This record gives sequence, C-alpha cells and structure tokens, in this order.
Amino acid sequence: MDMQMRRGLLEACVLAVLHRGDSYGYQIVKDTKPGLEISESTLYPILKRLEVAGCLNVYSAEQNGRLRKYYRITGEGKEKCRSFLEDWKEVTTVYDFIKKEVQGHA
Amino acid sequence: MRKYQFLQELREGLSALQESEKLAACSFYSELIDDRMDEGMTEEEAVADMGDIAVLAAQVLAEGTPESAESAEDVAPVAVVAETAAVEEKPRKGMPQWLLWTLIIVGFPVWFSLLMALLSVAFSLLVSLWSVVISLVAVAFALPIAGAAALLATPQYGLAAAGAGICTIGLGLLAIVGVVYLVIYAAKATAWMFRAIPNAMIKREEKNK
Repeated sequence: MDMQMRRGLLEACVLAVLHRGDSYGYQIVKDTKPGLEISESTLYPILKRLEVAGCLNVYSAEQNGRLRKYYRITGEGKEKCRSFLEDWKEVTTVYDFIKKEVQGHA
Repeated sequence: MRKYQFLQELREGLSALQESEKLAACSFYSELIDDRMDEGMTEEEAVADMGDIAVLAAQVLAEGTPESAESAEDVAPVAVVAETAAVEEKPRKGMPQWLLWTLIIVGFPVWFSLLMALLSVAFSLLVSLWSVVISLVAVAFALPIAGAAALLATPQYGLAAAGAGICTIGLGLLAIVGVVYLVIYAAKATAWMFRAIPNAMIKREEKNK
C-alpha cells in the first residue's frame, strides 16, 4: 500500500479505537489488529502526530506500580473520524471510476 | 536481549534527536515491553516482540519534530531530522575540557610571566602612590609640631617666631585636612585595584570559555 495512504488509514484506525474509550500503547496495538496491523515502530510516530495535531490527549495513570500513558480522543479527533468516513465516500467514487477506466481499456 | 540493552541501543539510534524526544520514545517502548511482561511474556520475548531496533529508530527519526501535523507532511523528514540535529549540536561547540587544560599547561611560560609582570606593575604603582601619601602625611604632621616646638623651645625668639609658628600650625591643620582626603582616595584606589585585577582576569576566562 502507498505510504501516504497507509499513514492516513493508520491514524484513522487509532482514532477509531480511541473513539470507544481511553487506551494505552499495547492495547491499541492489539485492538487495531482486526483493521490494519500496526507495528510498535509505526504506532509511536502516529500517536505523536495525532497528539501534535490536537486529536488526542495524553495522561499518565498508575498501573502495577508504574506509570502507564493513556490516550484520550478529543473533539477534534472525533471530528477527524467523521470526516474520514465522509471522505471515503468520495474515495469509493474515485475507486469505481478508476476501476471502470482500467478494466474498460484492458 | 535485556530491556535495558534494548533501550540503550534505541537511544544510540536516536542520537540525532533532542534529549526530550529520546526520553519520550524510550519511555514509550519501555512501557510496551512492561505491558507484554505483565501478560506473562519473558523479558527476552517482550523485547524480541518490539522488532528491529534500527527500524524503530528510523521510524522515530523520520518523524523528527513536526511543528504541526500539516507541516510535518509538507517538510521532508530528512530536513526535520537535520534541523533537530543542528539544535542538538549547538551546546557541543565549546572548547573541550582536555584542550583547555592542555593550553593552560603548554602556555604556562607565557601566561605566568605576563601575570607576574602585571602583578609587579600593580605593586610598583601601589608603592609609589603610598610613598607620596606617606611623605605628605609626615609633612602635614611635622608642620604643627615644628611650629609648637619653635614656640616652646626658644622663648626668647619665641615671641618673634610665634607669628610664624601660628601660621605654620594653621598651614599644618589645613594640610592635615587635605592629607586625610588624600589617604581616603588612595585607599579607595588601592581597593579598586585589588578588585579590578581579579575581575578582569575572570571576565577574560569567561570569554575564553
């Protein structure tokens, strides 16, 4: 898959998981598996990017005697989820067009 | 591999980044390893699950420090990394400690003789200043004493000398007043010299740093 496209999809997957409730690194990796498998190496940059963009907040909570970072979706993040679903309608239209063109000429 | 080894290698892989970013990345991966161990994995297994450190480091490096999510997509990741690296390099530009000490030791014949010359010039200035002051003090005190002695020792000429003596006493008192001020200013100048020389040296040292 194209890197840029994959990046956008991964961000949407992480936001979708957080839409359900606050979560932490390892849990996010496990929860996104059914959608798009996210490796640890990709998750870190994605979370950072989403945080910088204001789509999620980070807070620490104690867990088994150590601090664990939890991620919470913001209103902006929820809005991004919705706009992703909206955008996708456009994408499917483009997809149908490309498919028709390519197969028509084949 | 042990967890601390993993984190150490990751840190080395991220050496181009700012310290705060290194720390953030390390704590993120440390947490992932801990969470896996909480689920029953051994330390070795949990670390192995993280994958290749070089790949992890490359991913973190590629993101660099985006100022905002939008600009991060526009700016080439390499440029972001280079920028962060430049920020990191700045504090390292100073003279290394060993070079400074080598210069101090090798330059000893030069700076030590210059220092001694400076100190002797200061000392001779002090001596000449104070010798003038002391002789004036002596004159100031000698004048009234001489006047009084002239009056008392030879009463027969005393009366004749009395006028001159009283004049001398007056001059002497005036001279004492002047000399007191002179002593005060000389003391101030001396104190200033003692403060100014070390200050100048310290400032120069700071500049060299």
